Amino acid sequence: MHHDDAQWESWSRLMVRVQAGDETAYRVLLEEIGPVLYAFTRKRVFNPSLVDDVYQEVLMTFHKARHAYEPSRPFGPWLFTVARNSLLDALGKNRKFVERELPTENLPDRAKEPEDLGLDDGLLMALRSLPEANRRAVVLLKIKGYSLEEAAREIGITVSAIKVRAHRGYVQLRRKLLEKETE
Amino acid sequence: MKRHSTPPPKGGMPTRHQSIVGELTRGLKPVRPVWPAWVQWLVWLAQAVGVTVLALTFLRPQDGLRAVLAETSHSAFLCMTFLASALAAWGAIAVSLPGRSLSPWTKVGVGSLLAGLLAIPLIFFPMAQGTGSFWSELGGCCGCIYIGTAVGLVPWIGMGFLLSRNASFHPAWTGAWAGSSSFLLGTAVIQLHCPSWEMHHVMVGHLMPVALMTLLATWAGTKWFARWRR
Repeated sequence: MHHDDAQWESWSRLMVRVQAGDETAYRVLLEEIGPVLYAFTRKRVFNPSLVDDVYQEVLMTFHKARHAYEPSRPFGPWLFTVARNSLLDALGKNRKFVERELPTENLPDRAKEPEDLGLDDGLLMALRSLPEANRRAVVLLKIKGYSLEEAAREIGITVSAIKVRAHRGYVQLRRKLLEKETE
Repeated sequence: MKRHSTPPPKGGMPTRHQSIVGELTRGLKPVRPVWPAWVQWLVWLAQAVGVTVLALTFLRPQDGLRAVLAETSHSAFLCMTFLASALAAWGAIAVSLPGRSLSPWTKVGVGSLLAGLLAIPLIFFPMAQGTGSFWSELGGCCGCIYIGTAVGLVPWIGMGFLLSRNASFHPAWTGAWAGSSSFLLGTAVIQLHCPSWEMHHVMVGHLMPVALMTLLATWAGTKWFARWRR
């Protein structure tokens, strides 16, 4: 979904009407930016069962921050700043968003390599940019679906050590994905 | 305008989307939009001028101020204090508005000015011989600490009300910028009032409160500037 300047300007005008209390304009705006915010959320929350909760949080924050939009400024950066910070706060408040294992039914075939798994290009690039040790932990645990014990045995380190590496990897991965989005 | 590209959501929108939209739009009330950042900064500027004039009306400037300011290091110190305060105010405003980011120039500018504020007294201001311990120095500086802090509190409260209307996602940073701006203004005022330009006195009585009050303002910021989200 690619939004051109006219689209952003139209949303900016709707936002001004929303600030004036126009319910219809708000409904139209939420229907139009909803898919954008939902896609933004889905891309960053790895556990599918939590995406809807985080999306709701993002919409609530958008609602509370609607007075803080300056009509003379572009709408896009404002919207994504609100969405990104709301999402980060949700992640910070609830570590399970990043630390919970993916449900087993969503795990890909463990025999496959990350390159063969049809991962999003951005995710693949972000994964490749991680330090080797952290990347290996993330790939084994989150992509190949190894248990902590299996992954620790594979690398030849303790379970505690792989937890630390994986956690660092998740944090770095999240940061890189967010940086990529704001570029 | 920067373009943003996002993939379409796979599998459509969540079932609760419609109910959230209904909930948010029902009985929507008008909101007063935030003032543009430059307007907020002008409000701060007017407040800063007002506080400085008012404070100096009550406190009176030091005798022979014109001669004191003829000294380059003194006038540079004062100019840098006011400038750092103004830039920090801009930092507080920018960091509290979503979609605005603090330019590296603002950060470098404030950092350089603060470094200069520490360097100038150390290098250029006279140092009294036979100064006592830190605690005895502190005792002699109490008046300036109280007055400088009291003067800084006024613009801090004013700025706090101004910034709390914004929607800061970085309340601690907002508090830190607002605190440093306000208490630097207090330091500038006390520097115009206090006749002592002795290095220890300036460091302990005029600059130390800025650091301490900025820490306190950072903590207060985490409470005050996060309230809009509740």
